[in-house]
Amino acid sequence: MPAAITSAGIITGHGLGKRAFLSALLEGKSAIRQVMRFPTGGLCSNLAAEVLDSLGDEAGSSRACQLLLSAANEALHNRPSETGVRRGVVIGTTKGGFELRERPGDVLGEPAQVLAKHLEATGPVRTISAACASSTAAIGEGLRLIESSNCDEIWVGGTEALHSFVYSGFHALKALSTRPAAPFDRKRTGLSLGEGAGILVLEPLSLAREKGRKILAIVEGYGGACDAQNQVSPDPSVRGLISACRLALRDAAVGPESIDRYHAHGTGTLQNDRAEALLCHELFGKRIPVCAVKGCVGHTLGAAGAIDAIAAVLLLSLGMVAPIANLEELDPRMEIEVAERAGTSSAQRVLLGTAGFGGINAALVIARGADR
Amino acid sequence: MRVDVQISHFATWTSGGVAVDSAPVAESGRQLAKWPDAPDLARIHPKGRKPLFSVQALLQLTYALDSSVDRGSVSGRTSVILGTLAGCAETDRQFSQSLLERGPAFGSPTTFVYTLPTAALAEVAIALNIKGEVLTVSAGNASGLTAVAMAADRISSGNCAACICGGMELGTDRDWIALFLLEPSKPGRRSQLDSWETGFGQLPRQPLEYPAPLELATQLALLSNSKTGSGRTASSDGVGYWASLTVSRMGRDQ
Repeated sequence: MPAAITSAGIITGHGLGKRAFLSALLEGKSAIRQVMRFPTGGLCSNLAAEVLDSLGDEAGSSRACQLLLSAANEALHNRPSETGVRRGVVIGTTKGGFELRERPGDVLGEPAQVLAKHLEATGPVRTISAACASSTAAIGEGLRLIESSNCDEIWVGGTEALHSFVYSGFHALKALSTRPAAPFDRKRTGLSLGEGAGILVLEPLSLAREKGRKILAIVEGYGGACDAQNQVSPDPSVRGLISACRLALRDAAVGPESIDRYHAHGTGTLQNDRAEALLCHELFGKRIPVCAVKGCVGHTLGAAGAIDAIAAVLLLSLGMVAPIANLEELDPRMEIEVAERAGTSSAQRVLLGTAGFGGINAALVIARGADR
Repeated sequence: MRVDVQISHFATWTSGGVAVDSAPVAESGRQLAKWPDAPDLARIHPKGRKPLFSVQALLQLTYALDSSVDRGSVSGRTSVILGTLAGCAETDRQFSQSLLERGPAFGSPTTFVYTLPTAALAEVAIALNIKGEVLTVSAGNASGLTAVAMAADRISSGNCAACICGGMELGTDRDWIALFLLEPSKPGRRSQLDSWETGFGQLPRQPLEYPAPLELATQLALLSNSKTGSGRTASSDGVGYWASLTVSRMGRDQ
């Protein structure tokens, strides 16, 4: 069953709000700069896309929770107040309220729990962790709940704060680039971390139409699949991500020929981008337009899928295409199309892929909302 | 079209010991009991990067569950969904300690990989060639039953052929693992999962003597000793999370 996206909110290194994010996306502007919140001396990089805005001061809450609440408040803005609504919350994250880890209780689930109380949710409330595919899986879980539960709306998304713990871990893995991440660039040297949160409000499509909601876009399908090959490296044959994409297409009851653009995980690592270019070749059998946002907002790990989804929603609803920030010269081995600058687009439906450690992959099919 | 969901097999590991398709062994401490007959990690999983206790324990119990499956192996479109509150607290502590001792530039890359809640599940997927969804869910004290409910949703809607689900808490005050294999109902079925529901902030707190997935395993063991019957397992906590499942039994194992 398709789900209507009727509200969205986002916070990234470009600040709070869809307007700031969209503007940076269309200008190909990068928020990746020197890290301010913790020392990076001795590490292989000093770059990340940090959120510099002052966040709310929800007493005792984690940074990931504050990021999530900031995004959620944007989604709440101008939304009519309704009583008797059964509301669920599904949030993807890899570290959740990490800095509260010495406190007993649900550290991973703290952001979702605080949001659920903020929204007076009475439906299912869940925190999903699936490595860098966490919030894509959370949106997929929201779609499943729209199908199977009696919820009127599900707030789905992801949140991730940048911690020195995680930064040191990616340094240890030698995955951080000394230059801002440049997905699909010939000279790309690795990823840049980021932080942020994204929220989407899903409602049953028929209910959203009955209520006269403005439908920003439609989530039509979800698929999840595991490589079962390696904890860190993506499967070079990209079978797992292709499988997740095919499951999402089947769930949406459409074929690859119905897809107008691929929204890539696009981390800027040699292996990931090569694998996704191969995916495009194998799945679509032709050069297809590709969008990637991690040069713009960094790799936000558990929040990445939600931020990718909001990019897809905004570009679809405006009928626009965006360049890939920091991409100077497309890797000649990549048989994909990338926009050199912002322009108009007639795309009606996009496929979004995400891949994470543990070989965990997730994909979504998102369609334009207007006139459907 | 929705299909019925059966719980084909279940396995638990507590401080009392390991039980497959039978009631959990009574607990006798806070750490998991030793399992002398379990195959070692290297024999199960030659690609294992690091023999962490949590990874080894989950692999061993899944291996036991897998061995009990009629067709011999869970793989392909099988998914793994586990509920957890502690997540990867054990490896978080280890990696933090290594940063404190050696400095932020000298953390262990191998340990860092296991600071994701899904790392142990990914090892299971690699070992058993499981290629479906792999994820963890946190929903307070209802995490384990929520994982079972999510698995049931996927089986019922035809989105998944089989799912290993349940809960796992290791490196906490009380170590335990409880796994259930859910599949579409077949003739001569075992226990059937009749209904499942989760929510937030509606039900009063109902403290359980055991973690809810262990209660569910106990209930399934009781039902397997009778020809017919049904029972409900529920879990909720002071935060507001709740989950409720109903299982029934029609006939003995085939």
